[in-house]
Amino acid sequence: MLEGGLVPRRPYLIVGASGTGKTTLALQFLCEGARRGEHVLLVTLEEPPNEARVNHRALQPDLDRVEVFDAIPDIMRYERTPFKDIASVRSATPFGIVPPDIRRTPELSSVEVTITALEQMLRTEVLRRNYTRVVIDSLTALQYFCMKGFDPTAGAQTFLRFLSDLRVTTLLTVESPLEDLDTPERMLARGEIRLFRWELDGMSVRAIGVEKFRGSPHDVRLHPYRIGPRGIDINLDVTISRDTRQILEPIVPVVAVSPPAPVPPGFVSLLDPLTEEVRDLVAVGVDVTPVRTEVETALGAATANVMDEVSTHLARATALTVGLAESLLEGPSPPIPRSDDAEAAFRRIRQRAEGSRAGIAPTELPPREALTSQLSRFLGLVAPPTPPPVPAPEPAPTELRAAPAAPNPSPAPSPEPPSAEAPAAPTPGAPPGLPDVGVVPELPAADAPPPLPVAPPLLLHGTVPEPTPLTAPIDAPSEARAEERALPTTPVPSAAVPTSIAVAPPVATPHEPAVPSVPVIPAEVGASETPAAPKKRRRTTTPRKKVVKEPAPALDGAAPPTPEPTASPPATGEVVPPDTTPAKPKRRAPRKRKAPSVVAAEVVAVPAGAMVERPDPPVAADPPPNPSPPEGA
Amino acid sequence: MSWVDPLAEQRVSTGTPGLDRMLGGGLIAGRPYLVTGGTGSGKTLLGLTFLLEGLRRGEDVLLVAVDEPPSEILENVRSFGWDLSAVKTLDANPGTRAIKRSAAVQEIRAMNDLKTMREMSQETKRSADAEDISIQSIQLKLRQQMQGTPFRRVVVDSITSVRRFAVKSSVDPQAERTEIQSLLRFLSESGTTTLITATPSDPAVLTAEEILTRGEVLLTRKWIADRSVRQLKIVRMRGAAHDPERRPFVISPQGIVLG
Repeated sequence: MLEGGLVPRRPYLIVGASGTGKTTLALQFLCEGARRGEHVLLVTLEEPPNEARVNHRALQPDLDRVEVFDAIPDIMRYERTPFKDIASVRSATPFGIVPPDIRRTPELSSVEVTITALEQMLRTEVLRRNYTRVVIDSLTALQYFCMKGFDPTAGAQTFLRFLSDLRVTTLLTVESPLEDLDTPERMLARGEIRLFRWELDGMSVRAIGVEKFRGSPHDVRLHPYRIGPRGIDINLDVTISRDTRQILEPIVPVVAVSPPAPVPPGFVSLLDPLTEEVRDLVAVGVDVTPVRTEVETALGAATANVMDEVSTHLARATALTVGLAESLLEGPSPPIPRSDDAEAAFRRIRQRAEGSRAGIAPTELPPREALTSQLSRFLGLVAPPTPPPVPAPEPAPTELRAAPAAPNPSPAPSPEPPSAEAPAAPTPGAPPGLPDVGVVPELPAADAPPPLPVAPPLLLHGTVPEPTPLTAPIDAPSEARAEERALPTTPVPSAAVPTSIAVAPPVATPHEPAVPSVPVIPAEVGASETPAAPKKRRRTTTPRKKVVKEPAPALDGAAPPTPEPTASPPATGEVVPPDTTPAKPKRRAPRKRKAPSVVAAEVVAVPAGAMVERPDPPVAADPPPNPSPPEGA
Repeated sequence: MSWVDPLAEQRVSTGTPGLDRMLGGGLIAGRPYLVTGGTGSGKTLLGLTFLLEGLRRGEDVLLVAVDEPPSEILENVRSFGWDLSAVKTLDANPGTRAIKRSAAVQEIRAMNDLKTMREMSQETKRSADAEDISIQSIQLKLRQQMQGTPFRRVVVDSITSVRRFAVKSSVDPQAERTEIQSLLRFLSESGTTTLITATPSDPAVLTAEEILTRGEVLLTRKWIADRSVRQLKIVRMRGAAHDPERRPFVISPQGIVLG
């Protein structure tokens, strides 16, 4: 429902009435981290650890590796006893060594649990133990029992802000007897999951929905769930109506392959908003190379007919786009190119991040041909930064970067657009038109061409930097060109032609028809991270909710029996989902998100003689899409 | 690794067979639970049944009577033929004190010793004997009494009245919540299984006991078709698979009988 999981390092809320399964859901989140070998922490203010351990024995053996900090206040002494700070008296321990009996209040002292003490404890412990996931159970108990002298609302707001600064993915449970109450502190969470419990003909019916998930696409529908023997068990194949409490018509599961047909509109609607967002990012000067790489990889997978990979990479592309927007908004003030377009784009980016994105309609992956053309069209529409046109002796069509789909000069099917130029910082010794030589192993650093011209930093979109500073160095070292020719990495047939900066993502490359003019350069510097990375990079976070299909005794809940788990391609007709297979190693994507800010000066490498006149960035062929949420109920 | 249910032997029977079945054997020991219902819904009866079951098993049990004075409780069950004489009681009912409460009382005085119901029925309560109750004093009294033998079962009837009648140690609503939390914590640490009765209040307002108790049973009464029907529902119960449905019941000399 969250399209791959939570965006990390933010606080989230799980809201629901008592007994809806908030603690269970939160513990499942922690157990998932424990399963991946992460250090994870439960701060409990409600359920004593010994009880929680027993109550959730179904989550073993992962649960025993979850660490728990008992923040429940002691019995009050009602007499003058020294107050001790909770952190000095208690510590987090793994569930596995929690004794079976309830902790006893010490005779001679009394521990006071205050928000300040808890924050201090968290700050210290997160640093020391490197927790990647924290659960606070519950924010309500914190407000009710630990805020002496504070206004509970203000205290909760402060605490949420503290958690945002802590930069650890945190879930807080909130007891909420009513459904529509939206309290001020809730606005500070990055997202909110709501658990409902209704009566229907005397029976309890449970439903789960994503109340908000700021800046990220998510499923907007309500799904029934039950608390099964293995935890929260959500039925993603049906939805449930809030008003009638009835299960609605099941969604027909989507099968990936279909006979040749026009591209179903759903798929296009997946790419259109992505296109819009990426173009806005490009307009403000963000390096969208990672996103392009994902789409290129998807394209390569589509060409190779590995269809389930396609959805994964597209989902990742979407997630990366969100991450880039976030880094842009939250990082230091970026130098936005001064243009109306850029400012409008920045406003749109900010608006999207503030709002809650509608869920995207379930999509069918179109047949391969249509898919590949759609993907390459996307790549063309979202042009990587292009070098300025440089007068060249022999323009070679292959040097064209960012072949827009329409004026694509490359005769080859578009799947191989030369992708992002080197975003790496320039180093002296790198020939113009080549990435930072020092990083690309094959390129001998000994060839000391003149320093790379540095384009105005962060100008990655199609605008052409001043040609003047570039032409000179480029004109000068034509000798360097000859040396480049000698480089093993540039099998460029035409002698005088400098290398292009084309990067062939390793995945996509094998499927290219052999176009001799397409230089096969090992991944460039800046880009070398990204294309290589998809190979190494692990899957994105598994959806937190395990869709465990088990015929458990239906003691509780009225959800229909859950169907068999389906295969990994978009199984449930949800938005193009990341694979739901378990056992994913730790997500590496967070590192990706730092990339835009780390890359300071963009090198718009100019291949001498490479460029024919660069066409203008293509105008959007389609009207901006307005994805409307599917009718959920 | 196979996980044996460690709680299998630790279930505490409620004394109401149908409810035990709905709970999958009974309540999990050592935890506080909430019984909610309006006046006349049967919540006090449920609590008494719970205590009598404990007596039957030779356990020490205690009733904290706030809603009604012990004498009235005795009266009410006499028609059933129940003998509550051996049930230890903490009389926390304000009684005539309510009239005297114009003066703000700051001190919390120690309470009388606990007496059995029989002893209490033989005394007439004099106004002068009336002491003020507070959540704090209830805890202190219990602690005093439980130095020797802990009570295995305790019923507080009702926490709503405790809140209404208790002397406030401060105007901070936090103080009351932390005192309730402390009281329930004390009982848990003593291994006591506690039933707390409450009258349903504003559903929009979450009370401390709703957060603190590990399970809740709701007793209702409504008109269905041509008759008044009593229903029992387990609203929540941590750590135990339970019957989630509303079940009808009747009140009879056997107590609460689920149909």
